Amino acid sequence: MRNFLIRLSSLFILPVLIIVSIYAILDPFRVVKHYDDYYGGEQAIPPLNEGHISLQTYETYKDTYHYDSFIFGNSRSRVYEVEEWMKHLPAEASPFHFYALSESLYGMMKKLQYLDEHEAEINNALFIVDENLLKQDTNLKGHLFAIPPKLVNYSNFTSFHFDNLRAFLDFGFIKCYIKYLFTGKPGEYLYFESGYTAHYNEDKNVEADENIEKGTFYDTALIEEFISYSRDSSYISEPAIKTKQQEMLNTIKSILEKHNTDYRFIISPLYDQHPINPSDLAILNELFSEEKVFNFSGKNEFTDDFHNFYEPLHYRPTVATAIMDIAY
Amino acid sequence: MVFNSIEFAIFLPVVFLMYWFVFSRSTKAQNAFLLFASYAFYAFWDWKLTGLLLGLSLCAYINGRAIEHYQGHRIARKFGILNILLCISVLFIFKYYDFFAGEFSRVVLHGTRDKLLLKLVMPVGLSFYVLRSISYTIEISKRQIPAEKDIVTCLTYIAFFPQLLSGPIARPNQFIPQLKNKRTFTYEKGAESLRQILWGLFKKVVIADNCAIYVDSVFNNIPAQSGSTLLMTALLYTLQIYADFSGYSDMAIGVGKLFGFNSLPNFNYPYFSRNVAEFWRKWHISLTSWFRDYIYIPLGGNRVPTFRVVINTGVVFLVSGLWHGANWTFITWGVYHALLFVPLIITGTSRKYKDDIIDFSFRNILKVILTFFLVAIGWLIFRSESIGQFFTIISTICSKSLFSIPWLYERRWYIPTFSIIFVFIILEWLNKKYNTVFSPSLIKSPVLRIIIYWVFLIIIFIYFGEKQSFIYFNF
Repeated sequence: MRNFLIRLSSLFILPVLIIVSIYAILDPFRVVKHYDDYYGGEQAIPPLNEGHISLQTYETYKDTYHYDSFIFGNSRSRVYEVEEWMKHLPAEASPFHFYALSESLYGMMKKLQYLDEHEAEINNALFIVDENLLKQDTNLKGHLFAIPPKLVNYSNFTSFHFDNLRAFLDFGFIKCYIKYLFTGKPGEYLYFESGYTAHYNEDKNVEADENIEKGTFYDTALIEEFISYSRDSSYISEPAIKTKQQEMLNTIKSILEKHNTDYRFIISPLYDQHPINPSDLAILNELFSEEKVFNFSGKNEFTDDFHNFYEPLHYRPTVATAIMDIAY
Repeated sequence: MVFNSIEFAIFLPVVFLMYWFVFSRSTKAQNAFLLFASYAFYAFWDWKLTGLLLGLSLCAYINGRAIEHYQGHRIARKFGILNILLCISVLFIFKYYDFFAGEFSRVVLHGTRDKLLLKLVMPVGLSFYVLRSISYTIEISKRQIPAEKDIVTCLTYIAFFPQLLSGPIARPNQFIPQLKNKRTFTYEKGAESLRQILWGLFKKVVIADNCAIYVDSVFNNIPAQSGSTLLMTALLYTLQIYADFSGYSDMAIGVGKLFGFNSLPNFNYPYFSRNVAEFWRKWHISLTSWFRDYIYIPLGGNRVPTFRVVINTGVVFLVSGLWHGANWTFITWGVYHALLFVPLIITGTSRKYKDDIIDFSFRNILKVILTFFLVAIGWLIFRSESIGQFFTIISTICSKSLFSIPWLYERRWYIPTFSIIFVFIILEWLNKKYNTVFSPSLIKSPVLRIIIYWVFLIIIFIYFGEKQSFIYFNF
């Protein structure tokens, strides 16, 4: 037995422990240690799990800023700039971007439940949704999309960290990371973040906005991408909202009613111009009232012009600002 | 908690170390700890399920004691029948009631199906530990084993966690003596266990789960698929179900060995079979032998006229199909295999290939390929959601679109996947010859073996992503 355990430990367990320790010390995806500013510092970072960052940043600053106004959604919600939103909120409102990459309806619901259970005030809420978000009754797999363990009572704790470890041990990533450690050059997996504000958990696309102002952003390749992108305003997808999604929306509604939240649902204008399924829109209108649900999907002034988009999947803050002016 | 999970990777070493270091002085203490660990393992799925497991186990124990106490009297038989009826009733309520109630409602009452349905969630592992409970009392009735006075031994036999969820269905006369005897750990046993677990994990994570990505995608949209795609799906599903279930069995047997328990193999390279009869002697051996010993033989086995043998065989396959699930597809699958068996019974060739030696003659290769395709068609019935869907698939395969280029998913999927499948088939053949591909008799250099273990671990780690549940958990 002793021989067995010694060999097993030295040949297998010890190397695994060394690798895991290196991973924990380097913590490239910022899921092991706590940070006051997840994008702070001068190091290049890989794409992070925004849901995890959002939750951790909220917990760090909630007692300082007493957040009571939240923007929920996927990466498209990032362009709803806090300073523009605040023009429509009471003066004392304290906003926060509580989003995740490829956010799911389930993730949105869990964030709301978390706020409710921790007795946060939810005076104002902005929900940035689209068919894809409404369809997802569970988070996507992968280290960037996994729901933060705290939101699900740590039921996915091991898989959450295991996924990040796997991402760290990805051959392409390791190669890039080691090269960065020695040369300081970020490579394809890493980048330097510049537009992040921890206070609001807001991430602005500073470089892209600067290039747009300079007139260098929409180059030939990007324009070609827009032109060749498949668009069809007559295409109606399958309904996204089924029984599970309906239950989640009911839960969201009950929490909003409990907190007497002033909310808006924004159905994002997407470049593919696919309108939301009418039955989904009907459900949202019935549940949250037509006055609070604003549908910008399909063909409209926003989706007609590619200059309203950074690339086919993400629209620009100017669109978000105009949408907020309409919604409020 | 499944074997290929991080939770189990933490659970197993803790249980292993406590078993051998804390409780090793007493076999009874080890058994008690194993029982506790088994219930903890089961509770991880749903703690409420432990009540059902405990209830069925206690029934087996009490009935077993009663059978032995009244041995020689008629009432002993009644206790045996009582246990069987209790087990079958529980299984019926959870697994079959909704199916039969639904069909009754649809066909006889022409009414709404939902009103009669219980919509109970099928407890994982129930189909397996019910069989263990039944064989326990049957073997006592036949005086093959004494009734266990020690309740811990009986309960541990039924709940033994490596085999609880999907077998192998160890027989009491093979397993209980191991519970009563002192277990010893040797380096060779430990190394052999880990090799078997590693191979099982490879089959499950790399082969089965990879094939599942393609198979599930195709089955999500059958009408849009070509004949060639569906044929490829059939072949990949055939591989998937084998790798999934035999991989699980390897892990279960390997984990059992870590605790000093030996189990009979559950698979014996079934796809290298020359006819369907040989296939069934090599596929899910613990289940097929259970049906043989407790249904086929009591009905007369093959010691009756041929037409009775045919009927007995039909009954066994029908029960086998039904055991796998409450759906017409499973019943049809059972009937399909029964029909494949009938010509072999009539021609007297069902017991022809009792040896395990396959030479590479052209004739044998043809037989293996034909048997493989016949089995693959059966798996298509098994996998289909309905009989209608199966016929849609078969008719599409038999259409012109069979000669089109199949859908290959993504390049980064099919190139490594088919390469690994090709290597896997070769490794399986080596396994057949050397008992395990990691065998010291095949790879003599320990350094080379360690390198190979690490290569397999890294491959498993790379593929450890899209975790699919074990197919046989659904049964």
